[in-house]
Amino acid sequence: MPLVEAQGVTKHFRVGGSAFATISRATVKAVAGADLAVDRGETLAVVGESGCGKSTLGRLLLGLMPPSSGRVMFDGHDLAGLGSPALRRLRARMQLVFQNPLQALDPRMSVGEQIVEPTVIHPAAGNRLPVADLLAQVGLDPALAGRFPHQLSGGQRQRVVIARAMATQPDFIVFDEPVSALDVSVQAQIIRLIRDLQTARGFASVFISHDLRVVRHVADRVAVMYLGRIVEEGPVRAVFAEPLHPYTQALIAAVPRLAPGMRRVRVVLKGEPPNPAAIPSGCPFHPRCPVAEYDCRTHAPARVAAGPARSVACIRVASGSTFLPAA
Amino acid sequence: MTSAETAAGTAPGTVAANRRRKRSAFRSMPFSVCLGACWMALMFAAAIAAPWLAPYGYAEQQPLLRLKPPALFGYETPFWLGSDHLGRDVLSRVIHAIRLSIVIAVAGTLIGACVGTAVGMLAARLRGWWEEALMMLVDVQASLPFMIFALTIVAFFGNNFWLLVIIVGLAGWERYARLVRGLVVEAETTGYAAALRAVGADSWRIYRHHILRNITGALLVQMTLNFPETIMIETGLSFLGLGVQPPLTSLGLLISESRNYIAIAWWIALAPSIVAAFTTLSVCVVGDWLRDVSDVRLR
Amino acid sequence: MDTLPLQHDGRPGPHLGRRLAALARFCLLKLARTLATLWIVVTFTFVILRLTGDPALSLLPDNAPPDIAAAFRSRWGLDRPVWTQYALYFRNMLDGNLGYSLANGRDAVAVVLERVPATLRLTVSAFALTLAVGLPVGVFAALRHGRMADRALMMLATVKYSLPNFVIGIGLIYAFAIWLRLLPSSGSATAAHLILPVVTLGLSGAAVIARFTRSAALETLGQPYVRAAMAAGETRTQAIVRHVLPNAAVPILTVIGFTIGGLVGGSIIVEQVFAWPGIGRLLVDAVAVRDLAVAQVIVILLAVAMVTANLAIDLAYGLVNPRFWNNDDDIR
Repeated sequence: MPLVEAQGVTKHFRVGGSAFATISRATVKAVAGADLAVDRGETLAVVGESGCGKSTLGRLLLGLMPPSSGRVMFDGHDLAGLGSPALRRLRARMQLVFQNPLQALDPRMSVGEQIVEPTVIHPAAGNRLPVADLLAQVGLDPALAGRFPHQLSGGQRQRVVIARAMATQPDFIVFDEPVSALDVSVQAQIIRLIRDLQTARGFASVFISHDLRVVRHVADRVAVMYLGRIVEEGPVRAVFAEPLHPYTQALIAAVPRLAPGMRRVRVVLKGEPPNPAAIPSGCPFHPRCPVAEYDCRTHAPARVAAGPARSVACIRVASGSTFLPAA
Repeated sequence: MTSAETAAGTAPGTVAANRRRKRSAFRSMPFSVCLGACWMALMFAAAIAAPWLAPYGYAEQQPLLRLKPPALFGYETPFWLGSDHLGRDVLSRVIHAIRLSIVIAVAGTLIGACVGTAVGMLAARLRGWWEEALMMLVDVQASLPFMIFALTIVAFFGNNFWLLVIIVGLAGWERYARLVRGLVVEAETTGYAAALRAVGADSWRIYRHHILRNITGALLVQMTLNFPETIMIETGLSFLGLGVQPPLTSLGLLISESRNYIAIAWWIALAPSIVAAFTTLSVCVVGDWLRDVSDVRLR
Repeated sequence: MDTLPLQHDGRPGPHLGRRLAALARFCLLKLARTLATLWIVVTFTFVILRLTGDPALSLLPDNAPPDIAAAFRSRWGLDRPVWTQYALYFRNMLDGNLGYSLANGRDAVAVVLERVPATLRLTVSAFALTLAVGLPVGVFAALRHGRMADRALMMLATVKYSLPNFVIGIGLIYAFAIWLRLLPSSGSATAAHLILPVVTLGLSGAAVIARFTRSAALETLGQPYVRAAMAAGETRTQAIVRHVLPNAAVPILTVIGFTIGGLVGGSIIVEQVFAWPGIGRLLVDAVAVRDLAVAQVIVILLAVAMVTANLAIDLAYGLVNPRFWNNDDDIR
């Protein structure tokens, strides 16, 4: 049984206007029928453009918001079925690392206090390491414990957030764009830290990112999202070497050094950038797809198995006329 | 927890550095702000020590010494700032007026901050329809001059001291509500409160330990910014004869009483006018400066 | 920010139809808010009137003839359930039937309406003075940013806006009426009587407007496009007229909204100081003797006036806001 499993999870938001002005509202389908499974100790990367719903998916997996439909299972518990006290207790076992560490930290509390706060909230969880050890395991000087977040550098702050997430020794961590707010030089250090912690602690994680190069370093598997749907999923190595979905191909082709063996076919996307409030009919990718057929306008393809441990949602793959740039 | 405390204790330099930064902001205080702060301190001192400072009782009448000019300007009278039409010492009356005006303004400010903070937190916590309804009330209050609201309440419920304190307290509650709601919503959606929920903290812990601590600075600045208005509402109502009632006295009431004698006894108006003007001006200047140097965002 | 090297075509250009639809929606929203505000104010007076006891006793003079009292009771439905009373309260409000003055037994609405012209004369003149002084002073101070003139003007503005109106009023009376004997101190007989109250009321608003205009102008002056225009040879004054004022119009309009509120609130005090026979003074008198019918009419009238002014400001705000015409996502 996987540790975390999303079964047909959908999330709709209402946007625009106030509660009094229902006329001007639109519904945004941030996540539309996502199926995912993360095994113990495994790292799944979720990639896609901004606004494709990957952060929402991450929050749904942690039960931080209820899904509009579908369900999220954590270690056999349906998160939506748990009451809020039970869900809070379960939080000792699942944590979130944020994109912007400065926002995620209380500006008026010393980082030492903040790091141990999860163990104060969950007295039964973790092995209650002292602050100094928690800091040391994320590579921070224990002398920093008395500092406040604004006195630290961006990389140090993110280490503090990671240390806080590690305090209760969780089984599952969602990393939501953990390095995209950092300088490039610091990114590499934080990525190395995350990878080291994964090996040392063996927690399962979902790594949300738009940077495919980062993903290749930390993830075992990758799921590609487009407009709230997972269009392709599989082992990182296989997907990057041989992307099946035209969108994945476009993403990978845009990063030259990602797949040096792959013949460079520049897949250029056309049309408007995706607007999650107005999702096209049929395959949502068809207005921008370089190889769209007539059927793509009307038929939304289901995700089907395509090779070992892989799946893809594309009508051309399903019908056997696989479109491969490097054929 | 203990480990955090010891760790904090091992790095005293950082806390000191923090303090140094604050101190340097205070050192570069402009002269006008310095003056304003001194005046405010003087007023608070006068308010506390009023019974000992005032040479006469505030209602003590000396019918033979009516409308005497001030000794301060070289006249041969027993009153430093002169006496009024009933032979009461203007200085003593001003000191007692300061006391009452400041007591009402402080109590009112605290009431307003509590009410506004509660409303703002509720709106931010409940979201949805409740938030819309509460913020609508805030908008209504903000779009109407508070004086009208205050007069309406006095009209319908008559006049008494505690009602006055509550009315003064309600002046500006909507600003606290807006400020607090904005800060809390930000913390709850993208900030530390959202992070704490992900960690598993309950609302009580988040509000008690984190949000309250974080909004205190902004609240204090907002209180300073609102203080002049609370004073103006009280003195204004008292000036209109609808606030503090004789024999009690307040700055507005003193100025109102002095109006009839201004042609023959200018000194009755002088002291309360100067005190009222300097006090509101000082608080305004200090409040503006505090807002500028503090890093809190006020809308 | 996610940065994928996808080819973006940009959004389609603004369509006039969509703009107008957005404009209509904006106006409707503001109108709905205005009506909701009035509804809340009227409900507030209704609740508070019930809390004080029997409205028939509060809104009718003691010596009202029994037949008038009976007619009033049936018209207000005082023997009916509270929701019926609430509905009737609204109907009476729309009919302009709001009780009789305690002081002279006359129709409260008529008593109030005859005072309106005096107040309008005072507030409209004061508002004109506010704008005529506030805007140029603000722009002038911004142009002289950091120099003596700027500092002196801003100091004056701070002093002016932080002083209570009645202190200023009495100071002016002492200076111009008693000491210099140039102007009358109270009353409303001649045009000269208008000067002191208008100056008292108008200058506090002008101080606020001047401060805001200055900071709005300074903020815009620092923007790259203004610096670019000046680098291209525009003088500071040209830059102010062509770039700064149009862009600073939005914040300044907001402040003008506040100023109107200040004028209405301030006029109550100023009318009292200068014995000006407007509705502010009437309100104070009515409150003092607890003439609820008159007080209620004035409160509702002032609320209507304020809310209408706010609506006008909001609509003007929508029209001058350039975002409105370029991107309808931000409109609320």
